[in-house]
Amino acid sequence: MEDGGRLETQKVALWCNYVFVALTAIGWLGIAHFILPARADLGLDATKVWYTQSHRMGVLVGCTIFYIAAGLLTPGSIQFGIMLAKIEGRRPVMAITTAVCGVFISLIVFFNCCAWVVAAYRPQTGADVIQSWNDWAWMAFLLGWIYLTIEMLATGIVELMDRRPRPMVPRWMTWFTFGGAIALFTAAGPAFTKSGPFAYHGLLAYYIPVAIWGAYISLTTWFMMKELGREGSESTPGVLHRDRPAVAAADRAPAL
Amino acid sequence: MPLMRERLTVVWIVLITATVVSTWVFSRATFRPPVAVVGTFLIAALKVRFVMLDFMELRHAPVPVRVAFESWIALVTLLILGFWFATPSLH
Amino acid sequence: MSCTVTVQQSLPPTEPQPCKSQRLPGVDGFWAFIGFDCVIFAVLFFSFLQARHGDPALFEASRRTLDSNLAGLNTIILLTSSWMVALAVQAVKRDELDRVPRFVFGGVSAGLLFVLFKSVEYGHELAAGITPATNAFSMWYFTLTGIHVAHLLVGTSLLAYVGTKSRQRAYHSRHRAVLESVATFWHLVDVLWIVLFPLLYLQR
Repeated sequence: MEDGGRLETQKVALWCNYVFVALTAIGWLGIAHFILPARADLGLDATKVWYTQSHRMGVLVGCTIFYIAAGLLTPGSIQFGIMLAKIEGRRPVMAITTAVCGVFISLIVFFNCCAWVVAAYRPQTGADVIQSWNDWAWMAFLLGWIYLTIEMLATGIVELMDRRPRPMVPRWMTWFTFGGAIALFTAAGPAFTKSGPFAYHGLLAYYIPVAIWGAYISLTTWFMMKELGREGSESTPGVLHRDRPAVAAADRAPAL
Repeated sequence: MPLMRERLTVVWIVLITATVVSTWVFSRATFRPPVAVVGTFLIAALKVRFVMLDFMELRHAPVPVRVAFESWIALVTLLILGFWFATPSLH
Repeated sequence: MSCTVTVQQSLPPTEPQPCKSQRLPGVDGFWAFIGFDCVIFAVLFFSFLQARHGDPALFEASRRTLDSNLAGLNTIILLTSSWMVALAVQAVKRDELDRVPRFVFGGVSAGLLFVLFKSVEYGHELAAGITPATNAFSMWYFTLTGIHVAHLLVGTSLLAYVGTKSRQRAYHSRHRAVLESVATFWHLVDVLWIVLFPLLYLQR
């Protein structure tokens, strides 16, 4: 049935988010060793050694995995938008914003991986060139916090529009999303410092924002997956409809 | 009830008094640094607790929430004092 | 404890309760935001303390250049502001609707006074050549107080909004969640300053 088919592709799209998070953890944090990256204040020669010797293979393999994962963030983010559009209804500007920002991040991460691969690609490249590629990748990665903040704020705004007794996303999660969105701004720090918690290897500029990002994607996907399960049982004849969707039936198949 | 007899007002007066003590009494040189610092931050912890319990109404909140926030107060105070005692003394 | 736990304030209790019901005031889920903010600030405090541990002499010397009298006065101002906002929520619970805007705008005025004195303080420091780039302590000082002032400005704006609505009698005992949540956020701003002030100014 058409509705059932759409439900399946929607679930696949949401699953892409889970796969993205897993591959990021395994490939980028693990294999590429970005769980403990080359520090911003490591110095020219030590940075070159990090990329062309000690961590060369790890960076090449791990960043390959990471850009593949980043590709999956595109359908995953679009599905976020679709799930939110079901709540927002006609002219779903916030839902589309969520989707587009997610797609932007998908593309940004892709370019970051290319840069880190380039840094490790030719061992004979000059140390200052390697450092520049590394710096560019970090800046593009972390300064992209703005897109994630906008994505998370847009998500939260739509979630608040959900007036059902059991909304798609519980209110505490929505308010965590707002808190996380604002807390991300410490990722702006790297432009101004090379050491300490606000540098690109720091607690406040890197680790916490990445943790917020991972939690937002994973938890929001989980709640949306449950919602799709609810939708599936609602379209099954004989099942009691306890939670009528807030939007009109005509919007069940949203035309974005 | 006249304003001065309200519990909120009594709490406010206690908060102001505590602030005066920690800002202008403990800061004097007559108090040794460990005494001043511990006193100041214990006062700060008590002030935060009063604001949370009475102004933010946590006194009447579900117990797990109240426990979570009171734990935050304890953790932050321990963090600050722990670091202070672990940091080499300048005196 | 045999209290009835009430989740939403919109439903009146159906039977007499042995003690006051346990409830979280305000908009549903908003306390998650408050808790999250507290956790983030705890991490900021930790990072500051770590930095201070690395260079206690520098941090102490820089601390002495701060004006703790002005900041102490600001602490009193913010506590007073919190008191007034708490009184506003109490008034709305008692349906004393005329008092609500008076208390709320009292809170707003105190908040603006804080901003004024803080600006004066920043002005003195900048005039003396102390900027966020001067040293590690000044970076932390401007960052922590800057984030706090940003919270304060948002809080003041929200208070002004609910103050205006309360003049139109938009809030009463059965409809007060937004006012309560704005008040909760304001008290958080106060709580954060209660910790920040001794952390930056009084820790010798």
